[in-house]
Amino acid sequence: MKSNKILFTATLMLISVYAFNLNAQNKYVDKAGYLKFEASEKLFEPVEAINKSVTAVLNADTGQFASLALVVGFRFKNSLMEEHFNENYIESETYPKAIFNGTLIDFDLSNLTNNPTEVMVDGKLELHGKEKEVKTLVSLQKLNGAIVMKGGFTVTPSDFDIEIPSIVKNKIAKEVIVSLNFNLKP
Amino acid sequence: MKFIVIGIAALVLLSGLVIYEKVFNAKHREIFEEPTEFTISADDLQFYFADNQEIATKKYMDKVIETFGSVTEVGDNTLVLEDKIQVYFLSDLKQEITVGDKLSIKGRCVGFDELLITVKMDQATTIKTN
Repeated sequence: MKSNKILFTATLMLISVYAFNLNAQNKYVDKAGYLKFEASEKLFEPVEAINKSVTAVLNADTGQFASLALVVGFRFKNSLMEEHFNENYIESETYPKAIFNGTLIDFDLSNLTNNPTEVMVDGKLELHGKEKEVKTLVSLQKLNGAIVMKGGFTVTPSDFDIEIPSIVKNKIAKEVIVSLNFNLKP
Repeated sequence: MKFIVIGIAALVLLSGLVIYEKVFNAKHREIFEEPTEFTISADDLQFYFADNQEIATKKYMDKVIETFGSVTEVGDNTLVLEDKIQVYFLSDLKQEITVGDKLSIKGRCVGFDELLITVKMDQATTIKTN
């Protein structure tokens, strides 16, 4: 058991070194990134949730970018809404993660300054067992050695086969606005 | 007779309000006050998730867990145990914690992060420093 475990850990580490290129020094990571989504309709209770434990990883050599949010980490103001979100809509026990994998187009670390510049991100967002292409502009700036990334994009529940029951349909917006804020440290 | 009717009506209204409050404005869970369901070392917890995410997710996700190990990284409202468990606190850390401290924390398991190869716990409180 013990030696099995050591072997397993060693293999895992080896895989991770190759998969995420941990050797590269130019990796910028945020382990406590901020992600918010909002699907509020006027006159109804706000439908929004914030996750402050999102992971984001940028390879500054290649512009490759990945982000992962554990969906139970989304916190709503209303705890009943949070329960419904997890149990009925997103089914977090079966699909515990939201993962984005993509590239910052024409990213060049040396071009970054204190002033925000806009960069196109193109990639795939996987959620609820479905994948969708997401292409959006984010702002990037260099602050105290870290790369600050801010931006947002829009998705719909049907993109990810998430069914909204008809009784609450008019209380939840058709389009979900996702905003992000990452402080990627070397 | 009239009083009884008014009394009953008032009672019905009141209990309706109480139920409404309880169901629709229910408070968030207070993880610290809930009983611990599993006590497990940082090493083992991460091993179970890395070994089989599906089974570990069913068993541990959203559960109140106590875990322990050496602190390997400290942030504003987050720390890492044994490079294997990323722990988030609701507010900034009050007590001084430095790398190398041995620590037990209680929190809610949110799942496995394969980018960092860590298990994440949120709404944590430190329960003891050894």
